Amino acid sequence: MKIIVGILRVGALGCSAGLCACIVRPPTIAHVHIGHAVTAVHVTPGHEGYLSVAEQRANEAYTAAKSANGDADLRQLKAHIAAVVDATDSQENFGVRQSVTMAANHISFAATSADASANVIRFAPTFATDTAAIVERCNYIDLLGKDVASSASLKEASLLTGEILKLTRANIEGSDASGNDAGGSAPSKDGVVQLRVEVQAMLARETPPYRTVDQWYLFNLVRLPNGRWVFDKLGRGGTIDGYK
Amino acid sequence: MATNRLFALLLIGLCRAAWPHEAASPAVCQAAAGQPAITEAKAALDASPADLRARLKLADAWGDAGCFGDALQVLQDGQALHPGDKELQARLRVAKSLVSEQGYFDSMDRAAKNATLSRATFRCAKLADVSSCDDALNMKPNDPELLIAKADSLVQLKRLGEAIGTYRNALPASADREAINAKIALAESQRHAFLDTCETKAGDAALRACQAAWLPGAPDELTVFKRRGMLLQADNQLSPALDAYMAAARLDPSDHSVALAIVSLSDSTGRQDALTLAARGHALMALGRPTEALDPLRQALRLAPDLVDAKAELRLATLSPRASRADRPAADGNVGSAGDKAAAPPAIIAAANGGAAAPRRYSNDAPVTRTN
Repeated sequence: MKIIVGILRVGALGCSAGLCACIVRPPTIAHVHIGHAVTAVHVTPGHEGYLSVAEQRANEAYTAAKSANGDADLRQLKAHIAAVVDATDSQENFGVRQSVTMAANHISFAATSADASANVIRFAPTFATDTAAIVERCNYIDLLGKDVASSASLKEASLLTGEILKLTRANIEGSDASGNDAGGSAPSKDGVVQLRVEVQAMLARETPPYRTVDQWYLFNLVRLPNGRWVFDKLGRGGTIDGYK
Repeated sequence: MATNRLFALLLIGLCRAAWPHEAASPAVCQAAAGQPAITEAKAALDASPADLRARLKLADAWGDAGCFGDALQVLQDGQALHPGDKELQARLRVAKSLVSEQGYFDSMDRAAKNATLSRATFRCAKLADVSSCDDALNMKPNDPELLIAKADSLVQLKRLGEAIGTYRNALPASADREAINAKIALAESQRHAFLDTCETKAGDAALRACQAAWLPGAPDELTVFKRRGMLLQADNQLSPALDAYMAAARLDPSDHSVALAIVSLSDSTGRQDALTLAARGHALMALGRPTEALDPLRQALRLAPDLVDAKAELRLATLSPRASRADRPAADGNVGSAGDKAAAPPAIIAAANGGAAAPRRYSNDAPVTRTN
């Protein structure tokens, strides 16, 4: 009995030290890339997956836009819109545009992995195309944000803010068929919510089934100089941005 | 097995590094089909279609030219001949990835352009920003909705004449002609009120009214320019006044009051640019002083040899009997005579103009707001 308890203790300690990864069958490289898009990646704030970061930042942008929409003071309105722009399009702080683009990139990495399923290979270009509407809105928000920043008129800035508010909402919920309004009767696949649904549907079709990838694999995938993806069991570091 | 997989991965890395990642356009790829590398590789493959090396060489040649779609096609055509070949599979994966990357970057470019268009459209429609309307129309020429939005903006800015012209441009492609005609009728009635102010009042209000009433091609366009010239001259804005008179002269080159104003203002402003010199030459011809017209017309053509009207005018001035005498070394002393009334006879005018009657001209090419 003592021997069994001892083995379990050693196992538990080993697992907590990441050794489970060596014992359990490792995930496919394609699934690890997908895991970076949906579960976790070590470069983002809170190590969230890129799609989760995009959702968070899209919500932050919408909240800031709602605040700006009620502002009667031009300076305060500009501050709120600056927050919208930062949440939407910021290289340093993983704006919606950057996060969505990275999610698409990592799903493309998955599709080009040697162990990618036909399902993933088919999905990657569709997903990348579907992110274009969000990227376009982010670009538009960025341009309107610059107009607000340079505006000397509260009336003009408020009109611009109304448009920004619609765009930030559409970045979450998508837009209707005419592309004018968020949450319409026939939403297109172009909000972060729709992107998440698309990814989940793709994962549900995976054979063998997709399982949430263990954090050790997510944080230890590296690319060798010859282009091959491997797990960094020896802590050597990798060669590509976004990886160790 | 493991070695094969490693080889395939290595190949992917090498191929991705080897092929340029700048994708070529379909037109460029069509032209690239004639490149020696591609024609030679194609000939080799046609000679032995089952030769995998030859197929890969042709795919490489397309890839080197940035034509990833063509490279993919060549590789896909080889699948039936080489089923399960690891190298071919790896190369196919790379080619597919590059084709999809190409599509992705195209969509990103489109996203950037569409955002710029959306911003320009919004500013045009909601903020009456006419320069944004022009930006949007540059991206979507003759779009009826944009034209109407621009015209609405011009109405808001009280530039009614321009607005009417823009509404008219929207008419042919518009689905709702009735609505546009109603807008035109409303703008016309407002324009007439401004025209009245332009013609009867003085000062800034009248100047603004002239600007608002200016409608390119309208029968009253000449009146608007003349009136604008007078008002600006009265306000001692001599250079803009000269511009207005020059625009009027383009509409009616024979108007004596306009010609006199141009001669006077080109003197007092001292402007020596090609257009002003040509206008001064035209004006002097209109006043029947061809001898005096020679010098400004020649100067204008030295500065801008392509001024077609000035060339014709110079020919006319040179053919004029008085000017011919004055131009000879033993001139009779009539050079620069203000009383030079001997205008060229009709036959000479016809010869200089090539016999064609001058059509009615409009000032669209020379807005009153433009300065030299």
